[in-house]
Amino acid sequence: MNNVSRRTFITAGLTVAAGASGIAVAAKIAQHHGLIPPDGRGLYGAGETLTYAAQRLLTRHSMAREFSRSEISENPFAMKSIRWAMNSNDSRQLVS
Amino acid sequence: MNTSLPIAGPGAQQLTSSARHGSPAPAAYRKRHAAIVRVTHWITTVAFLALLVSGGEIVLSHPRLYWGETGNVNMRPWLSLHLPSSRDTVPTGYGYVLPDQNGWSRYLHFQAAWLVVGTGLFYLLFGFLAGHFRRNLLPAASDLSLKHLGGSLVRHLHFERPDEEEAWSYNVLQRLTYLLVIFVLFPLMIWTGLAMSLGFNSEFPVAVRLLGGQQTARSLHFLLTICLVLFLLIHVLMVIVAGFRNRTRAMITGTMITGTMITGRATPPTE
Repeated sequence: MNNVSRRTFITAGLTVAAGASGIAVAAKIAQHHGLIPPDGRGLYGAGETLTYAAQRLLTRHSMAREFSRSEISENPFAMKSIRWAMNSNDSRQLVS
Repeated sequence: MNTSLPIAGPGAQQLTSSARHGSPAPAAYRKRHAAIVRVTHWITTVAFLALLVSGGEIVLSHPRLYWGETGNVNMRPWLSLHLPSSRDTVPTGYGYVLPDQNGWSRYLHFQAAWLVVGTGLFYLLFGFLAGHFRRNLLPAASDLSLKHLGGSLVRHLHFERPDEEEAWSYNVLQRLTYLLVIFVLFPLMIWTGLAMSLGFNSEFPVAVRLLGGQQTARSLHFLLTICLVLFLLIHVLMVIVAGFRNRTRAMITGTMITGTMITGRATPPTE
């Protein structure tokens, strides 16, 4: 303690208090605006909350990029269900 | 004093004149790294290792890499990692599927990414405002001649231990490498990472268009990882060459022991 001056000690204490109350207020505001995800607690809660909140603050209309018709993949990923759908007669539009 | 030993800064203790000229001096602690450099260095180290482990797990979901916008099992990859996958839809040539560990991997990857971005922004602010980049990382114009660069390269390739004078500052290759990592590799890593985020791309499609597509972003993210891992290996190797204990001590406590560059033995001063 000898080499920590009273001034440093008080400044550090005030900084920690201001930081803690700042985070508490930020959490309240975020909660109010629906920026806290359901999994925003626990070990990975901080990172998940930041990602979730940043995406909701950044995106305005859709949550996925839009592509033009010409960019539709020529060789779509053949999931078993799609393959099954493509083999059945009901969904011929899937086969170009 | 400050011009010849730029890294030490105003807080450095006075050096005896004999130590300044390279001859053995009585051992003493002297300031080497600023506190902000040390704290951000180790936070970045932890975050990078977390990103490396979780990123390695994530790539196992589909250990094939493509160029352009689209990539899937029906397309030819430019690189197949020849590793087993955690998805049964990926043809890997292995007769088994790895357990799916993508849950914690993605959580850890994003958590560590936020940590490294926050730390990086704080470090950039400090680096510009406190003159850390200008003083410690910007190479002197005279050091950038081919002759000087070549000489430095030859000394590095011979694994020569830096002399006493050089040990208190970054040498020219070190400066250029750190600048490359800080201002090229890490920003590109963040950009290519964001260009894989569907949410980010919906708002800023130009981020992925400029790179040439989402699969190109993924491939570049992988190649940049290899660059950063190579940097890490060479960085640690050079620390070992320069004296592992003393250099690591300097990055933790901020002080390095003087007069130890010839022997490399970090004998604490007897006082």
